[in-house]
Amino acid sequence: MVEPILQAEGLTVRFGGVVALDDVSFAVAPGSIHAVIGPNGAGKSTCFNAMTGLYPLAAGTVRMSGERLDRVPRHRIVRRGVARTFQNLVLPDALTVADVLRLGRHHRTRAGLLATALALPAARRERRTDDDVVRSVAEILGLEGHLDDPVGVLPYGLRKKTEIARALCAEPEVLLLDEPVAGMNDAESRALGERIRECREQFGLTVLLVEHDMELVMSLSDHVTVLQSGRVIADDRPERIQQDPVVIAAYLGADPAEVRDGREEVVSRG
Amino acid sequence: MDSLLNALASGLSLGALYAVMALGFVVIYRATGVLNFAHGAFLLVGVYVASVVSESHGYLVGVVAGLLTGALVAVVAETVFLRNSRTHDHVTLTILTLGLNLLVVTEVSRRIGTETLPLRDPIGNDVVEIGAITMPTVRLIALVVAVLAITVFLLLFRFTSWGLAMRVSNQDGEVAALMGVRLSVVSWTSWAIGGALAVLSGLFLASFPTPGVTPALADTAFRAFPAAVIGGLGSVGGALVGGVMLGMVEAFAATYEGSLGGWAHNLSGISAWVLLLVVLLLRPQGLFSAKQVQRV
Repeated sequence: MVEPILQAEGLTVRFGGVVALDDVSFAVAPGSIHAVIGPNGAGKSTCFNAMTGLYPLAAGTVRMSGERLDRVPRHRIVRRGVARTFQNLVLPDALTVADVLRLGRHHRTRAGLLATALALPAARRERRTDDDVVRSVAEILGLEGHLDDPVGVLPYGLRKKTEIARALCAEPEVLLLDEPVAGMNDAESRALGERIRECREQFGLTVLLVEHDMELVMSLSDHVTVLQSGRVIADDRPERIQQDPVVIAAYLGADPAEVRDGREEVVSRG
Repeated sequence: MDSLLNALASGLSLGALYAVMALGFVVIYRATGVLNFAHGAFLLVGVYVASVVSESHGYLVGVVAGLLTGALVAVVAETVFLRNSRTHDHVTLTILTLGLNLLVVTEVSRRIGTETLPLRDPIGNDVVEIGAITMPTVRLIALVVAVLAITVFLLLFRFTSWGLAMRVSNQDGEVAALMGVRLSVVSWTSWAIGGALAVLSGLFLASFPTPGVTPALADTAFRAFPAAVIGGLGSVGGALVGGVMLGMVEAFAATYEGSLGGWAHNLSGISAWVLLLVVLLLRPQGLFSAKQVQRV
């Protein structure tokens, strides 16, 4: 395998006595779309929050291009090339879509208050670049007609896209999407899946996503990691995951240990 | 007719100053979620320093020193007292600012004693006459300076990345941080601006026709709180409108209370709170309350 761009090693997160993540390791190949799936409560979002420094790690490391990400303060994570969206929409309603997207440019802003106030050439140049990025990202996601609308008045699907667009405006190398199509119908989620794929091509992105929509995961991703009760129970290409008895059992509610023997047979036959 | 015009002019000027003060209060609330009841302390300590420094270095140096002091005291309050408990309950921190206010005001009052310190502004008690309007020159300058300060602030708030960071960081700090916003920087800069704006309004409120700097000056901050609430707490535009409304009502009350009979005695002193009651009865969320949409 090529050198991973993002790598989780032995991630362990505890909330009081509850072990939410237990020794979770996986590697994301550059340029891939990598999905993390699992039944409710498997620790998928916890995994994202731990990787982006929102939850403290009891053990383990996160590496971005080989460098430790888990020791970086939150506000520097985006500068290392990692941007994310959230499972529950977090968008300030009163802001316009353009403002929300511009927040994605924050970490690239060099011009200080004074330079901006005096409209110095460097500040103006920066502002133009920001506007260009905001516009092109908005176009890709079909938001270009809504840039001046307050986020609060937009329908759910567009707000969801606004959040993805905000992360894209940061020009990350790795984009973490936490349930990007949750609450969308089949047609909408297929369309958004297409957009995500286009974004990958256009920006040379690596995408790590948590998703419940199996159809989307299987059609979109190059690699799938399956979590159950905070542990990795499978980590493979999507077509193999679909046939994995341990994964199937996990979704049906069986104990992974009982079906593990069955997997050996499938794997040796496959 | 003349008294009406005069009431309008002085109300506008007074209202602009209250707006500046309320703006500082709202900036701090927006950025950190804390109701800063130490606003009067920031104001008083800044104006006191301005008065002391102006004695040896002149008025303008005094003003700069006062503004910097207000900003500095606010930043110290934020970093020393609030930063370390930033994750704690905002109600607790708000009560902490009440205590802080008491400490600082008591100390500055002790230093001022029973005197009334002069600010030594070069304009003194000049008045200007524009048509039928007669108003202290200082109050006219106050109006211009307040409008300028508010404009500069709004431009920064609207068009800089700092302003954008401030607008989002209280509502969703985690997102802002992961987009590269340093919450600690947003926090202390907001307190600094809040402190400086309090002093700016205080400097004019202590000038003619007010005789000078007395400990009672800290009480004028009690105009900032109703102004902010009337406008809809958390709304920058609302703070400005609320401030101007308060100034207007107070000026009109002062102009006409004498002819209203005994019941209106000192109506101007309580007009802010009467207005607050009326507004809250009719529109509990304030006039321009930032729209909050609950979502599951």
